[in-house]
Amino acid sequence: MAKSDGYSNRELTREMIVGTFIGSVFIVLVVFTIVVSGSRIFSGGTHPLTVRFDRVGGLRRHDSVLFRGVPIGKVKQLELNKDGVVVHLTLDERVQLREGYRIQAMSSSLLGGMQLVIDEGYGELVPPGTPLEGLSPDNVIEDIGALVRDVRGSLNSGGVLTNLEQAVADITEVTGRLRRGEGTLGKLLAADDTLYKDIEATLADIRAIVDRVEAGEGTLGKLLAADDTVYRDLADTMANLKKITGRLEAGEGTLGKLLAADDTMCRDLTDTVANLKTITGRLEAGEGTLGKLLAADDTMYRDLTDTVANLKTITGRLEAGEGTLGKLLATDDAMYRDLAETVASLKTITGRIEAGEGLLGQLMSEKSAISTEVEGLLKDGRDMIDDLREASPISTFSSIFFGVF
Amino acid sequence: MIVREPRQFPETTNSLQNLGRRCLVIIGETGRCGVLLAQSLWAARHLLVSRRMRRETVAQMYVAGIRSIPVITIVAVFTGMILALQTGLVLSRYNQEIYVGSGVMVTMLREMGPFMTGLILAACVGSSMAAQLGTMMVNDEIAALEIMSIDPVRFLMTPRMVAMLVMTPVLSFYTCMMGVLGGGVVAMTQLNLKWSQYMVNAMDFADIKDLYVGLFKSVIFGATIVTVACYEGFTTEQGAVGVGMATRRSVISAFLLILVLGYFVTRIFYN
Repeated sequence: MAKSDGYSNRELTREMIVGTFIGSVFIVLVVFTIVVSGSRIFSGGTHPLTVRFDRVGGLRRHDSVLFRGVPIGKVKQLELNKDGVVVHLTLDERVQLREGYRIQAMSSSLLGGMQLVIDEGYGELVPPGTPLEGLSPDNVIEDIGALVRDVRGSLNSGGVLTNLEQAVADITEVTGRLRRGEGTLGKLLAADDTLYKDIEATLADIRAIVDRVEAGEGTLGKLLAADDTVYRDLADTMANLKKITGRLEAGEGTLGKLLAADDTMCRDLTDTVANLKTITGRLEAGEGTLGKLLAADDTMYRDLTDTVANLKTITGRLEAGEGTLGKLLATDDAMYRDLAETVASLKTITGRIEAGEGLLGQLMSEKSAISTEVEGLLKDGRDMIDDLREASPISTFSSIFFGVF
Repeated sequence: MIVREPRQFPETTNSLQNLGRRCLVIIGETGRCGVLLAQSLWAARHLLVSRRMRRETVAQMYVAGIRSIPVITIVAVFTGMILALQTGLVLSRYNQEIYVGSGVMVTMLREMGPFMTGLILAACVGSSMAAQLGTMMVNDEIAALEIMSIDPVRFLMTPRMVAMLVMTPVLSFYTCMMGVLGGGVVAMTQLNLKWSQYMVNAMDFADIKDLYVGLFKSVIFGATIVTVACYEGFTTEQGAVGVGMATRRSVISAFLLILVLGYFVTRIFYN
């Protein structure tokens, strides 16, 4: 149906469809452009930041800016100047930089890509308008190359390869022993389950012990049991210990006096130690019998050895029954009997002497005539000797005088 | 009309002369296409005063754009799915399949969006234009227009040119979005990525330069398609057979030019 201005419904529909499609795509295009370009039309504003670098290592526009690990902005623009690179950042959040701040360009992954990492630093705030200096990125490839060169040098010169070969050989030997079931570890890994059974038995024993402990048997069980007898005993012991320590603190008893502030015993002990020191000094110097015994001079030792040897000989002879003493110690009791008879005879004789029988008895008796005569005889003899002693010098002089003639 | 003026070339006697003649023909046709393009763009000023031209332009937009949407949607979605699948399979070897969104987005914006749109429009719309104008040519309808002092370029070509210049970037952006959506489906179903992961990564790597270079490229492709199709239509001879040949030549030429011009535009902006 044609319209008054020449438009048909079909044409109108076409125009509406085309217009709707183009309009829709255009709206999506605008939104996409806004999102991709990072414009913040419907949210808060951005915060620009300018940092100077010596070099940026491939940093590009739209690379991420991380603050505390969180992406907060993008690299907006890079400018080369005469002494480095000026990087303009667009941040979604305001960053308060402090003294010691770090802004570094670094690789975002091993596969490439760069990012800026901001460390806010510490201390006083950096005054606004201060030119910010960034840290140049590390050259990872160069570092890896240096590392490879170092490793290669170490391998070539340090005998590392030899050590590695030796280590591999050792490992091969160890694994071989394990495979053969040698050693404890090998036995553990071996098909033989003896060790496993032993461990199982041990575990059973441990389980039985634990059961006994849980049942309150034995000292450990009683310690862990709900019965508090041991606890009370322990408390009493602690009370006793407290009393003892109190007495010690008060200076009572020997130990208390030792621990007391009075230093009499300490001084005595010091003197004793000094004396001991003197004694040991004398012993060291070889003074006295004990010192000589301890001295390096082995004379006394040799004498002692000889004496011991003589004693050994004597005891040997005694053992053999040689000599009088040996015969006395011998098992043969003939001498004993002779001696007993002799002693009996002596007893009889001494009895008779005591009784004043016989010449010897009369001599021993003070009232007998013989003793009186013997006493007088002895007195006359003593007088005669005294006369001779007095006349001796005269006779000697006379003989000498007359001897000349 | 300049494109129908007879071309005078000397007779060739050997292959070398024949090659030179072919080069001259190509250069001449290129020049005529350029003149035809300039004429159509210059005639676009009449859109401001001619309601009929505007209606015809809208009609061409409908034909070139709306009717191409189903084909473009299918091609774009599956192109994005293929890109995501192939890229994701390679990236998954390095546990980097999360970057499949960026691969699809950048590829679609820079190359595949304009390229696929150009090919589809060249095949669907360009061939249609060449056949339509060729038929009108062999039926002397264009001669009749000239007899009536109606400029065929302004009457027939300018609405198509304007419609394509408008619709090609629109369809190119539409293709990009459909491709990214198709890639997202593969990322979710085949690569075990979440939709948000895929889209965040895709948007993170999307560059405004890529978008507008792609749109500019699609405008170039649209102008090329219309120019080649109209030139082939206006130069159709020999009846129905000529119409078929013109249609075939227009599609082949448009494909080749899209590839060549696409490379040079990329070379200019990504030097």
